[in-house]
Amino acid sequence: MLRRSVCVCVGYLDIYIIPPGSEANPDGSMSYQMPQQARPLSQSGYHNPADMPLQNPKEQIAMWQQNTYMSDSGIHSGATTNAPSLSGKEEEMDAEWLEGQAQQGFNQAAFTTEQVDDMNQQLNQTRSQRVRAAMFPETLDEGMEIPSTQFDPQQPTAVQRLAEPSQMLKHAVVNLINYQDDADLATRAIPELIKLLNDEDQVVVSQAAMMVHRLSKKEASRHAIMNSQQMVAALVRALSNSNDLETTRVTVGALHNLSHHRQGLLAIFKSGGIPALVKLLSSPVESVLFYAITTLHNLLLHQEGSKTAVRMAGGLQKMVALLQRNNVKFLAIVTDCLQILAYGNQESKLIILASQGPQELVRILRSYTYEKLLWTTSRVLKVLSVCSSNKPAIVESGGMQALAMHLTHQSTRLVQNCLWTLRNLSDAATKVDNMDQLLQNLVHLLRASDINVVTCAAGILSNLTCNNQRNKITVCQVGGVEALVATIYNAGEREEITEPAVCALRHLTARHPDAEVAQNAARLKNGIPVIVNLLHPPSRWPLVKAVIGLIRNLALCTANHAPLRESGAIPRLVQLLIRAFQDTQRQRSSVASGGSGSIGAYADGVRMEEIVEGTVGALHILARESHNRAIIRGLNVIPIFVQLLYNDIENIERVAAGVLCELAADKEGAEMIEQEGATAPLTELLHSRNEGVATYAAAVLFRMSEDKPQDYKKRLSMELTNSLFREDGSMWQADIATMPPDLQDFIGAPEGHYDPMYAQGPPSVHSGHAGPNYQGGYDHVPVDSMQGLEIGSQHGGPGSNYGPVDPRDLPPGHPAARPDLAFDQQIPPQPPRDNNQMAAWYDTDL
Amino acid sequence: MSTTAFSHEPGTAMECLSIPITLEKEGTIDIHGRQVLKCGFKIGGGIDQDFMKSPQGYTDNGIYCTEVHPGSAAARAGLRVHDKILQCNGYDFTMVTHKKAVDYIKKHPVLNLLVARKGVTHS
Repeated sequence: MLRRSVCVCVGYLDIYIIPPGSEANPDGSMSYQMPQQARPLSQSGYHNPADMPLQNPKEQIAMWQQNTYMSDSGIHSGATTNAPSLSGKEEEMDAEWLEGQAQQGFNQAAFTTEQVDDMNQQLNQTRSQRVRAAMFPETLDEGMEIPSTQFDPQQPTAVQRLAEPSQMLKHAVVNLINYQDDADLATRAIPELIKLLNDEDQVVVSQAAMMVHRLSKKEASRHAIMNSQQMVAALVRALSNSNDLETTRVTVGALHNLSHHRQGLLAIFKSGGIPALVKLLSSPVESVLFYAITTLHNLLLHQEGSKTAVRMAGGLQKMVALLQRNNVKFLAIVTDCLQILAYGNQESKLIILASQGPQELVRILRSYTYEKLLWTTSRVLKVLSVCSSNKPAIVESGGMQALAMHLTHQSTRLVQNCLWTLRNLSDAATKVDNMDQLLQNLVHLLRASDINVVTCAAGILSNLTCNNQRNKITVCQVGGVEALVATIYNAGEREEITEPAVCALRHLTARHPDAEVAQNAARLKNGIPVIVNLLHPPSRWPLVKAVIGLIRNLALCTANHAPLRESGAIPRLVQLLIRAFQDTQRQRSSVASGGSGSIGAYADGVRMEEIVEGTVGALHILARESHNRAIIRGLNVIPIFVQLLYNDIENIERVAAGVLCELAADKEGAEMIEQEGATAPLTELLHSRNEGVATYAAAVLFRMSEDKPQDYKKRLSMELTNSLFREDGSMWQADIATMPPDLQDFIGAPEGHYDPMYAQGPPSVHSGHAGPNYQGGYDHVPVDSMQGLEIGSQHGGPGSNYGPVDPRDLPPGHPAARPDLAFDQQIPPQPPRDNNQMAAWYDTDL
Repeated sequence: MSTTAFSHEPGTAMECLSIPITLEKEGTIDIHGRQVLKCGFKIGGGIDQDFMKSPQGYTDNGIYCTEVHPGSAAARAGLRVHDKILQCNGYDFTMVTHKKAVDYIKKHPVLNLLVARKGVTHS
């Protein structure tokens, strides 16, 4: 179809181009001479259009046509005209000006008149080029050199100054002319085309579709199409019914063009375009496929309701199937679509899982290097990683290792998304092998300058080192302890960093062959003062709880006793114990009097019973050293220990008995304990079902009996022997090590030992998008018996890490082999918490 | 005072102090020219959400205000971040799904809220 040109015919549009270096006429106007063939309009420029000498219409048209292009597309300048010369007057002025410039010594030498004439000539010849370059740069030949007339770099020439405004004017004129033409054309043509598209003859439909496709490429006609709901509907129908490739291709191409505008998207959506497009996702033809996916992507991004429509049309399964293709840009779009569809929608995530999505996504991460694709894929995995059904699938497909591959990438957004995903997955990945590279990268990332990166790295390390010996050893070997101490030091009061870091250190300092090395390393890095300092405000309870556990582990190393003492750990621990103990007492009394709090004394999601247990446990280990014992005695806390012997919770009884056992090693201690009336409860505890409790109770009683008369000792020995040995005559192995050697002799206990206490609970960092609520595990169930516990489950109440333990899973004689872990008794039945129905946490803006 | 309002088990009885807040939504015109009423805050939570995954560290399934836009109707009305919304226009918000909470809030142009606030209504 013909297009009108945009030739700026000055006579009609009054554009005044001031040639470079020329001065304006006194009246401010300059003339731009028409081609020489035409009659010159005026020598000195127009003063006003009325002055324009009248030409007959033919001549006007002739003039017009001089500058009219001949061909059919695009915009032409007067490219076919000759450079119009200026009137002689201007030439004179040019010459004068140049001479004037020369006289000012602008250039090195003064110019002769011939030289000036020469230069002028050159300038004239290239003037039209300069003007053309300013107004119609797209018509220039590539690489054409146009001499610049700019003498002073600070001063743009007149043409340069006018370049931009004349460009804008040119565009405005183009648009106007186009629009008018196209809009007219389209308005007349569209009803016709609609009829043709609805024709029964496929050839007709095909031709009509091609026409529409061509129309859709131009902006004005595109708008006309979009605004016609019937047209879009006809297109969609033609698409659905098409059985020939070319029709399909042009139709979906037209829809694709429409999808760049809001009205277009709305029109496509309303005409039921989405099911038709989703069907095309099975097409074997690449161009069709690319058009379809891009159009769907635009719809998903900008058109409300598209997500539901795509889901209902079965788009998810098809998109997952498309992940097997190998065009990276295409894959980037597909993965972005998946991310949009899966975000916040549990059902979509499950469909992706069922279609083998996780495997494909992990494969993509491993195979490609195009950053955008890696980023979009990591975002899909991030969205899937909060779904408890997808998590194991991703981990099993090697997701952790694949994500680890990109932790050293330059792109911060990619690294951050990988870290978030890893953190979400990490509590499901505690039994995975080949994590060495990941752990090494994470330790390295602890030194990053970006807070988010450090936070995530600490959280992931905390989870991965939980109950996994192999990982603990690896992290220690790559300098994890040192890095974590440095991280804690640098983090200051930022609990989102210190808490996971402290938990990770706690994991590293116990229950693996290199634990002692780790305990020493923490001291050697001057970590102890910093760590003990975290027991004080403004630390919140979750952090305090974690620090208590870490201190307990550090105290296992005798070289740490002095530094811990010197940092004031003991008084602070006692202070915390007293506070927590009082809270539990208050809670208990309020329950007893019919209060409504049946969940327990909570603060920041931490139960005060856990603090009690933790502090007493730490004091128990610290009390191995005599100076520490003296301090503990002086703090008047023994009464509380004795009170705790009456506690319902077996673990608390055990640690209380344990610390008393240590304290009783000194005569003063033993006396103080006896004065507090500990004998009675201890005697009771001899019959406890918990062997650890019984053993410690026996030990304390024995030590307290040092000064007693001989027959007392004999009776005691019999009593203890009876209590501690079971019917089958074998002593339960656990806690023998904690039984003081003297008592062992006293009751003739056999060999073997095993420290069951203070194992880590389930991994503490729960899934989430941003900094989650850390609940450090402080369970007392050893690793082997963890099968019965659901990692990260909500059983046992919020904040609790005491999951349901199946007694059959535990080794016989195990202290927790009794099903009534006491915490469960205090918790009312929970509403069903099926993880699959839980949405990821999100906010809504209102 | 107990801390039970922030560790509340949906469905159980609870009695606590609360702050009444009246929020009159702000009318604005959106890009399509339609009238839109904005409150100026964000909510998170609900019985179908997992509060353990909340970045703010909430301890129960209530509806919490997670953000208040400065200068908005919510800010003017006195709503603060981390306030727990107990009731809205008479609807009980201690046992609602997230979506229901959003629907109730969007329903009326004026919101009569009862909120619990740590350190004020509870220690």
